[in-house]
This record gives sequence, structure tokens and C-alpha cells, in this order.
Amino acid sequence: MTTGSTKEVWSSRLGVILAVAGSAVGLGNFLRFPGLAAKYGSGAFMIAYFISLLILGIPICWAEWTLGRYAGQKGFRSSPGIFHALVRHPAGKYIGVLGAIIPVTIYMYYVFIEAWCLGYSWYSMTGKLNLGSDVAAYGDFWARFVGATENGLTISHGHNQVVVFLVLVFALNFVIIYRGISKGIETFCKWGMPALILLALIVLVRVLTLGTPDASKPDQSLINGLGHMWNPGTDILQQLKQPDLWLAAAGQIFFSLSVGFGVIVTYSSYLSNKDDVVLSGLTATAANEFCEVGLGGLITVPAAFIFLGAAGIVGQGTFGLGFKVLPLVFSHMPASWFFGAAWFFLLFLAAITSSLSMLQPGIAFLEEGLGLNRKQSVSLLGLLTAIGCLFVVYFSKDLKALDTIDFWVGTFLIFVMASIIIIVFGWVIGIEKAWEEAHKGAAIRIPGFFKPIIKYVCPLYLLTIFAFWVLFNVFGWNPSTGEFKPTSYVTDLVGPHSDPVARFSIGLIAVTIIFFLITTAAAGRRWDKIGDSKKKETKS
Amino acid sequence: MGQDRRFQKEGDKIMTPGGWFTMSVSVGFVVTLFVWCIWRVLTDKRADERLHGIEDIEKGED
Repeated sequence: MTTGSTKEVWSSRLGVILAVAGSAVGLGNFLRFPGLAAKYGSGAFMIAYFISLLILGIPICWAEWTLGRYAGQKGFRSSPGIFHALVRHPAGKYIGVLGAIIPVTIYMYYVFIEAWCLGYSWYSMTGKLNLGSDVAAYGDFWARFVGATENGLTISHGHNQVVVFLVLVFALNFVIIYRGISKGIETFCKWGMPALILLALIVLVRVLTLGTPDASKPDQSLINGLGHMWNPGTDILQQLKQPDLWLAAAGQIFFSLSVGFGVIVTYSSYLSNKDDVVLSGLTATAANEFCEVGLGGLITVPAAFIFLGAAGIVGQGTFGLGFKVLPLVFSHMPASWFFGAAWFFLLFLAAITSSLSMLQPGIAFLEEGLGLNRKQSVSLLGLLTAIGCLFVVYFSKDLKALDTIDFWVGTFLIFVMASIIIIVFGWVIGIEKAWEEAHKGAAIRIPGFFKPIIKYVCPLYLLTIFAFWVLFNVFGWNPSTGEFKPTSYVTDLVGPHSDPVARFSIGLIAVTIIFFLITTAAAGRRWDKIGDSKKKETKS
Repeated sequence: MGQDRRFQKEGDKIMTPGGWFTMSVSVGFVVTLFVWCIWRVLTDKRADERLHGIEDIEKGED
């Protein structure tokens, strides 16, 4: 059964691999991973990290590639359609709709962050990011640029530079998406991903040749910076007993690989049984790990340590490290305009290859669910995401809207979707059939020990991590005292200290979900009609 | 990124042998895996072929 009018196809295996790798490689690879590894004692963290890669990341990746291709053979290209085909129950399409809701909602704020990266690259090149040696100056610049001090600041006259970059990147995303899978996404990723890696290698060589730039501070050297990043903890076994370390490592693998987004199933639905998914999935995963551990792990923390020392890095989150500390670091380097611009442009490339992948599931769904053509689907999705994006940009104070949507959609719903995917793969389709399906056209075989991992270990591990995540981040569980204190994500929504912006953000998520549910109901009727007419044709 | 006492490092100011080991094994593993995968993709004869995609589906090869 074919449901849509699309004739699209990937033009090369390397193209689809680079597109999936581009979807996975994002800011988290270069900013979040190094911070977590340094914080959790490197040695123990990397053990938990690689175990999570083996039993969580790679299996879910293979499951998504296989499920997408399997449903694609039945003519479905969108997550609701794919789950409609996989689950074979009227509820299937409503389960799958998460795979359209999640990426489209994340796009609404992710494109804003993408605009920061492009803006910072421009400001580095033009010298406007040379703000001296005080990290507070960089913090103030960032807060004004993104409007973190006041709602509506970035829309107002005189503080709207970020909007210019936002319009540019928003339009660029939709121009590329409009051109389609092969001419748009694949072509862009084919030059964007190698360019990203090349820029990262240039910055890496610069960082690794910094030595000890300030002779009066001999402790702040490259070797000590690497030590700050990679020195293991004093008692690795004791550290491995800490649940928050496992949560951090598994969470990083999970979000870094873009599993559970609905992106990989959509991308792989454009493949056929003759096309490999095992080696392709592993290669996309390996590309992500290379960027994260091999490049991000050697650049970010050592560079920040060399110029600021350990004290300068302490307490900085992902945005703090990326948009306050690192601009200061690059401003201290010789040829700062070049290396700063290269660094933020590579972050921009990492972001746009991810944001493109967030739009395609929505486009695919509107096309095959409502029968829209490319122009109509791009226009409708553009309108929907523009409204959501404007909401995030306007309610910019403390990035409350962005943070709330990221927590409930960009984290919570992704856990739900990934759990569904691995359960469908191992239990609904059945591990034997799924195994056979994965190996159709495969260039390499999956080692046999992955069978029990995919069926038992992965779902159990994922659900355990999910339960711990809810305990820590929703109920505010303190393992030392055993006390529960609901986090701000809960108290912002209910109770005497609720925050109206957080509530509005949940309202935006609800409206998006309702829109997609209504659309899914309409799509279901359309698919049933097409199915009925196909049956009649077969009988006659 | 504040240093939690539970995750106290064995050397705060110098790169220790443990640090060299952790870095070498971690970076070495991901680089080797990436290079091997890319090599396998590029040397697979089928890699040069156009992917089959939806056109085959419409020919009824499901």
C-alpha cells in the first residue's frame, strides 16, 4: 500500500549515513559530553558511557533503522504511518504520532539556538566577541543577545540582532527541506558533515598546540587541561555505584544518538530491503561517537582549562560553557577571529544538520497523512513551527519557555518514544522476525549476543534509567537522604510558585499534540480508504 | 560542572597515567570504530550503487 505522492529516495548509502549522523551530531557532542565526563570522574563515566552505547545506543539505532525500512516497504514514510503498519491496530498511528510531535516541537526552540551559533560565528569574525578577560562580560553579552534578562527583549528595537540570524536560519532550513530528501537534506549533509569535521580538526590542532600560553600560570597548560578532562576518579568502583553517574552516561548516549526522536525511522523508510541498515546504522553511530569523544572530548574542556583554569569552568552548564566561557577562550587565542568563527560555524553546522532532520518527519506526515504536496506541507509546517518559535523567542527571560519544552518534550517524551520503539522491535514484531528483517541486504551481521540484549537487557535498562530520571528530575529524589522534593519543572506548573510562562509552554505543547492527533485521525481515515480501494482493485 | 566529592579525581593538576589510559582507550576506540565503518562502507561494492528506495516498492518488490 502506498499512501503518499512522494517519489523520493536517497541517492547514495553514504548520503543517508551522513544525514543520520548529521541528525545525531549536535551541540551536545561538543558542549554537553565534555562537561559531563569531566564532572563524573572520566574513568568511571567512560565505562558507564561505553556500556550504555553497547546495550542502549547501538541496539535502539538498529531497531529504528530496521523498523523504518520495514514500514517503508509497506508504503509508509511518517512515524504515525510507520507505527500504523507495524502495530496493526487502530491505536498504532496514535502511538507513532509521538515521532512527529517530538521533532517538530523540538525544532521550535532548537532553531533559536542554531541562530545563536550563526550569530556568534559572525560576531567572532567581525571582532565583536572580543570583550576582554572578564567572563561576566561574555555572560552579559549572551543574556542580551538571547533576551535572557527580559521577555520580549529580542523583539524590541535595538536588541533584535538574534532575530536577523533566526530568520536566516529558519528560511535556510525550509529552503533545504523544500528541495526534498536527496536534493535537499542529502546534498546539504554531504558537504556539511565533512565541513563540520574539518573545522573541528582545525580547532583541535590549534588547541593541542597551545602549550602553556601564559608563562605566569604554568599550571594552566594543555597537558593539565587534558588531565582535568580525562583523569579518572580516585575510586572507580565506588563511583560506579552512584546511580546519577549511570543516569548521566546513559542519558548522554541516548540523546546524543538522536534515538527516540522519530527521525531515524523516517529517514530509513526511504530505503528498500536491498539496502543495508546494519552497517549504515553502525557507521552513523560511529560518526557521532567520533565527533563526541574524539573531537569534543579533546577540544572543549582542555581549551577552557588552559585559559581559565579549573575554577573558570566550575558551575558552567552547556550554554554557559558554549556561549560564555568558550568565546572568552577563543578571544585569547592568536587569530581569535578565525578560530572563534570556525568553532561557532561548526556548531551551527552541527545544529542545522540536526534541525533539518526534525522537520522531515513532520513534512512526511503532512504529505502522506493529508495528501498535501511539498509546497503545501512546507507552508503548513512552516506556519506551525514559526508560531512555536515566536513563542520561545518572546518568552526568553531565563529561557523559561525553551527549558520547559526541552524538559517535557526533548527529554521526557523521547524516553517514552524510545521505550516504545525497542519494545515494538523486540516484542511486538518479535526478535526472530526483527532479526531476520534487519539482516535483509545487510553488509555485516549483528553479533548473536545482541539478540538477548535487544529483547531483554535494552528495554530493562532503558526503563530503569527512565524511572531514575523521573525520580531525580521530576520528583527531586535525593539518594543520600531518601527525601523527595519536586523539581522546578513540577513546581512551575502546580502549586503556589507556579510560573505563567511554564504553564503557557505546556499549553503550546498541548496545542501541538492536539493538532497532530486531529491530523492523525484524518490520516487514518485516508489510509483506510486507500486500503479499501486497493482491496477492491485486487478483487476485481 | 562543579566537582562532586564523590567523583574526586586522582590528580587535579597533572595528567596522570590513568588519565592517559582513559583518554587513549576512549579516543582510540571511537576513532578505530569510525575508520573501520567508513572503510567498510566505501569498499563495499554495493556502496556505489544507487539506493533502491521507493522505486522498487512501486514495482511490487515488497
